[in-house]
Amino acid sequence: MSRPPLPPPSQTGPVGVAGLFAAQLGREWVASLRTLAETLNPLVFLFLAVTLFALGVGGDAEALANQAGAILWVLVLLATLLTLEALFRRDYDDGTLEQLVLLGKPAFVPILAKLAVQWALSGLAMTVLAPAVGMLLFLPAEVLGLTMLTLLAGSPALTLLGAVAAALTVGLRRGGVLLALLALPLFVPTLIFGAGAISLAMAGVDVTGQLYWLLAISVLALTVAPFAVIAALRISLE
Amino acid sequence: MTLKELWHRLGSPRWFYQISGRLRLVLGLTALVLLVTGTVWGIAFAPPDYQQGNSFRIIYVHVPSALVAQSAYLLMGAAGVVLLVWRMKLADMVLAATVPFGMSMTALALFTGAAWGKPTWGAWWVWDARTTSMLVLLFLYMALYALRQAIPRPETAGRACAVLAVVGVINIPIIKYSVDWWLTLHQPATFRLTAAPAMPPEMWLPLLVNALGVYCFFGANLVGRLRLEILERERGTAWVRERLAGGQL
Amino acid sequence: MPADFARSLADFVAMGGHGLYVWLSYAAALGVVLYNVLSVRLRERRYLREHLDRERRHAGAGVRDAVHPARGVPEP
Repeated sequence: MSRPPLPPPSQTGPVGVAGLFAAQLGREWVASLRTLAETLNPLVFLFLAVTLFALGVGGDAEALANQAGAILWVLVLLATLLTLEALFRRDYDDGTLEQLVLLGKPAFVPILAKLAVQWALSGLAMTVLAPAVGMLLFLPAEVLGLTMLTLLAGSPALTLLGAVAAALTVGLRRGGVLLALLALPLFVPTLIFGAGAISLAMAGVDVTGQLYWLLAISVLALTVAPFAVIAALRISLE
Repeated sequence: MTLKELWHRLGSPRWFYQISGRLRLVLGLTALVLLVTGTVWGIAFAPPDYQQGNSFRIIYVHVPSALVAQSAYLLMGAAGVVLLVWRMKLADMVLAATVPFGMSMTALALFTGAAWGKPTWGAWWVWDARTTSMLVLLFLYMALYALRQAIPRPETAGRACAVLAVVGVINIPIIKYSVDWWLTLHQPATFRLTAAPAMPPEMWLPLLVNALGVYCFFGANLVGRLRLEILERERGTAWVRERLAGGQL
Repeated sequence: MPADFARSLADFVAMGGHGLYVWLSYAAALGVVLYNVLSVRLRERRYLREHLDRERRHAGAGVRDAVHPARGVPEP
């Protein structure tokens, strides 16, 4: 497969932080579109797994609806996990990662851009698809909006915490299961508040507090995870 | 010795090996005395609980193991920070040495929780807040263990585990809070095991003795494992050969 | 023995019908303690044996103060 080379990872000459961020954002975006099938696979997995759930339950609307929040969130967790293995893999293989992390420049900015694109194509995409998934699970129409909100508030934490695990395992040949073992325990609070909010909302309870919790976890992850990712990448590149 | 000197000396495994032999002995003997006292006291002399009868005696194993398992993880988080910031060798060894101890204690806490749950709740497993938190803690320990096994170079493995331990420690309070909240959502009125109103001294004193004992045991075991790590990493150096010339560690 | 266990050893073992759970817990605790003690002890013994073997080989070859092949020059 011959493809034109990707735009260079960093421009020569003075580039501001915003410029660096934008350049990396563009680069990641182009790279993701190029491997579109790989990018979309986790989203296909989400629908496939929902179908399997419905088949396993036997299409019983009430049984599915009762657990819809939990099923949706668990599958989003697993789909996010599937996106993580590829997160640093290509850049690790072709040496781009080494340039990003080890060569001068604040590594923080390009890594953040990378994570932003990653989130847009997994967490944000799944948020947009949530109503469709919700309808397959007979989630009541009045909580579909809230379901999207929980995903919007909670999914950044999944991408960010998962990225730490991905960065730690990127140098390992068989990192897949290890990645799951590392990342899933860190996802527990997000799952609990996300799925809990949906089931409470179905019972007619106000769940503003749970949404704030999801946001708080995401903000905390945003402040801690990028540094942990950079430290982990440096270690993996040793 | 000033604090700064002590800090620098801690960076020297050789110095630690020389001073820790006696420390280990003292901690080990204290642990033995405390654990035997607390266990015999708890199992034979403490009064039975007015509600749960004698199954209550599991508390003297369950609570100390759960406490030390959580403390061990916190210690690993601290050691992780020290390793990442100051690159102190001893911190790496603490990280490596704590995992098997902490993992076995977490497993013990879970097992005794199940054995206590069966006569109390009528089921081996209940998704109670504390039990669930301990299960997640076990997974966190397993992740550290697996990560260290997966990375071939010891220095790289140590620092990777440090990152994971630090991220895990930041997560632990959030996990605990979320699980507590989740419990109130699903089981509004659960019978609480350890919150018995005003436990009399003859009931909680053995618990205190055993808790102190298990911490001393942790200390002795940690020092023992650290000494082994030091010997293994300094294998064949002059001071190790000199030290072991008498045929004893 | 306190009042409840005064009558017999059997009462003590039975733990008012909860003996199985209580003794299982204490046995598991003993197992965990022994695992932690013995895993260190066994590693220590193996280390010492390997160390003494190596020393003997060095002495036999007549290179008493030989530099360890993997470690290079010994620490001062």
